[in-house]
Amino acid sequence: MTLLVEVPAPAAPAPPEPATVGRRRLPRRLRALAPYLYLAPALALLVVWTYRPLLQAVQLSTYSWNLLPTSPATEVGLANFREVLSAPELGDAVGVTMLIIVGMLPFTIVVPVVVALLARQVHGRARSVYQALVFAPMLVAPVASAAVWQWLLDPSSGAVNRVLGLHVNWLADANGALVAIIVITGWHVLGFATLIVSAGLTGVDDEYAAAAAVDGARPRQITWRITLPLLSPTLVFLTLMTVLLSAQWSFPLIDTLTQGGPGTATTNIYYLLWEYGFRSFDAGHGAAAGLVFFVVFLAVAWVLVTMSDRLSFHDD
Amino acid sequence: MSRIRLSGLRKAYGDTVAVAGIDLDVADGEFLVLLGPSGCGKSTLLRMVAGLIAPTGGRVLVDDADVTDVAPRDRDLAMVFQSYALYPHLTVESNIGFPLRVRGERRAVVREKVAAVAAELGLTDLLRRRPKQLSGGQRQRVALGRALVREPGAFLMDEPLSNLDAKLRTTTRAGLTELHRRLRATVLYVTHDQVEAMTMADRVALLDGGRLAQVGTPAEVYDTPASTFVAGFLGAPPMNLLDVAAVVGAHGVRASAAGLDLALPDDGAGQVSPEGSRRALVLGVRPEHLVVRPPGAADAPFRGRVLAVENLGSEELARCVLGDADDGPVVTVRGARPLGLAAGDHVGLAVDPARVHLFDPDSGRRLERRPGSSTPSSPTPSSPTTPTSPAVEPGLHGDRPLARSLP
Ligand SMILES: Nc1ncnc2c1ncn2[C@@H]1O[C@H](COP(=O)(O)OP(=O)(O)O)[C@@H](O)[C@H]1O
Ligand SMILES: [Mg+2]
Repeated sequence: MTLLVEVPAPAAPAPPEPATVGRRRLPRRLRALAPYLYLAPALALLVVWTYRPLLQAVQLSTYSWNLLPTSPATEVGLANFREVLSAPELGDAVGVTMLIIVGMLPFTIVVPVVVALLARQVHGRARSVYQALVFAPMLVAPVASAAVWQWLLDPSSGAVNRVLGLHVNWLADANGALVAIIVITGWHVLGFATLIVSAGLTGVDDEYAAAAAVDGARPRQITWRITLPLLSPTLVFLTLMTVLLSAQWSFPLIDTLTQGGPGTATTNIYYLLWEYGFRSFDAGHGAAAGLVFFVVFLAVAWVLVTMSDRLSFHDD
Repeated sequence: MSRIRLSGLRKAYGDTVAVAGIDLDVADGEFLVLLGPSGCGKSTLLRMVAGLIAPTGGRVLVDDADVTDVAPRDRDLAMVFQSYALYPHLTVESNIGFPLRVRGERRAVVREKVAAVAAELGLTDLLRRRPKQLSGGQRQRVALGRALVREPGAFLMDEPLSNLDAKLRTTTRAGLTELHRRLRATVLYVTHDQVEAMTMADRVALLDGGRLAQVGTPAEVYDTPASTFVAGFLGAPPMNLLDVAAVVGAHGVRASAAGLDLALPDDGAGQVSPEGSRRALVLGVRPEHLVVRPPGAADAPFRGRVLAVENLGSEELARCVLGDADDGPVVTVRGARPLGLAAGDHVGLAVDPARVHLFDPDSGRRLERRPGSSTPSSPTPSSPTTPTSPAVEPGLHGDRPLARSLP
């Protein structure tokens, strides 16, 4: 009779030699520290220039103080917030800010997308020239461009009126001033936004457009059904930038061209804040307004980021 | 289904010639595999057929219609991409339905056709998912579904299996072959994998540096390779290629090299060429056609020493260096396990002379031994579609009996 013997499974491997603990501990701890050391300079800058002023603003917002080192700051609790939130000029400034944001969207989304899509057909040296041209306005200091634009917008001899065949006193007219601020701010950021869209388009694999072309899509269908949806992370990012930063981008132009006027027609929230602080020398109201805007923009940013995660389709 | 014809198709990127003038005829219902190493121009060729790349020269014809300047969407061809190119923002259902939707098909019809294709490919439960939520095999099937749903004139496939693991590749291969048989579809299939080519193709077109090296059935390209490139590309391991000197002697032609003295089949050499004349040749023998003999055996024209033996499970490979020197030519022997060899053994190797292939060392083209033939013909009579341009080279003696081509 044959005896059947089961083949044993391979023996478990011998446990590895215990590491020499004492010698390894210190380097490992140092290694864990390394990333924080690299981050330290940036963190230090953030703390000094962002978080410390933020805390100071919180502190300042509960005081009434006229910025003079010699005059005393009196503690007023939440009174500053109450007054800022109930001030009629706040509502106006929010309205102006929203108009500027909406007015900026064509310059940060629509035109850049159209230009970037068309520019894909430009190659070689012409491409570099085009990119330089489109990006140039970004490099012009807003105060410098404001001077030039003021001259161009001159009601009697300005080039704008002559080209358009109009007789508008742009900066003295409530609507005209707002339009001028929007267009000039848009002109500044247009190239930047176009470059971001171009970069986003480079990130969309050409293979999808090729597949769609073979599948029978016309160029227009490829753009609308494939390219733009795949570009959505970039578009959401630009929307976020526009919503959060339009008020900031327009500030230097408002300050140099219209000083918030005529009336309050171009007073956006940051210009209002600035007026509180440095026109009325009311540090408490300025700080309170600043904190309110900070909290509101934080909430807006959170909503938009959450939305962008939902909307964006990252290909892998 | 459609017939696809390419004539003189060419693509150059500046000085780089990706595709160097291809003539090819893919018959209606044929499964033609474009085979070649990476970078030989397969994808470029396929994309020119699809209309995604404009050729530098030549024409593409689909069913007698010249479509060289026709937009991809009007060529009635479907393509499966190596990356699958599934639209990441669309569900499986919308991906498969995309070709119908962009053609303005009604929603109800699209849904019906997509459901049918999905059922056929086992995708019904995945229709609501996005590509990111699919495994590699499932993505591959969605890509196939998107091609199938339109019932196109022909399918173009660019390495559709190369992103699958080995096991899945084998089953998918069988599935594709089955699908082709059922639909009688025209398929132009690109791969660098010779196993895919051998198992799936009606005909194989081997591409070498943008040129066609040979076109023929899998058996033809394997059994009668038209050039050293084809011989050295097909087979795992590929054909052993040795530089030899052919000498006409009193008893016919002998091929000799270090550790090799082989009588080539008599083709009347003695009558045509003067005794003692020589000619350089490349001699090819497939590893599985070498037979292990005892060292010094009289019927073993190869004499050498075993360098290493590899165990493939059912078979063994032995790498042997020929002659006495360590840096002699190396041949690989393939046979049922055990071969009975160990590293360091001295060994003799025999081969059936009918299994020996000869090539011209300069052109690399195949030399046919056909005694008495004087009518010029293609060097590979078994594959009539072999392109004429690379085959007809000045000074090529492939169409003449070997002995006559001796100087
Ligand atoms: N857009 C391009 N510009 C320049 N050279 C290219 C381009 N596309 C392909 N090539 C070259 O053409 C040759 C063939 O490429 P390809 O058709 O992708 O090869 P395969 O698909 O056989 O691997 C390669 O040498 C490649 O470098
Ligand atoms: Mg390729």
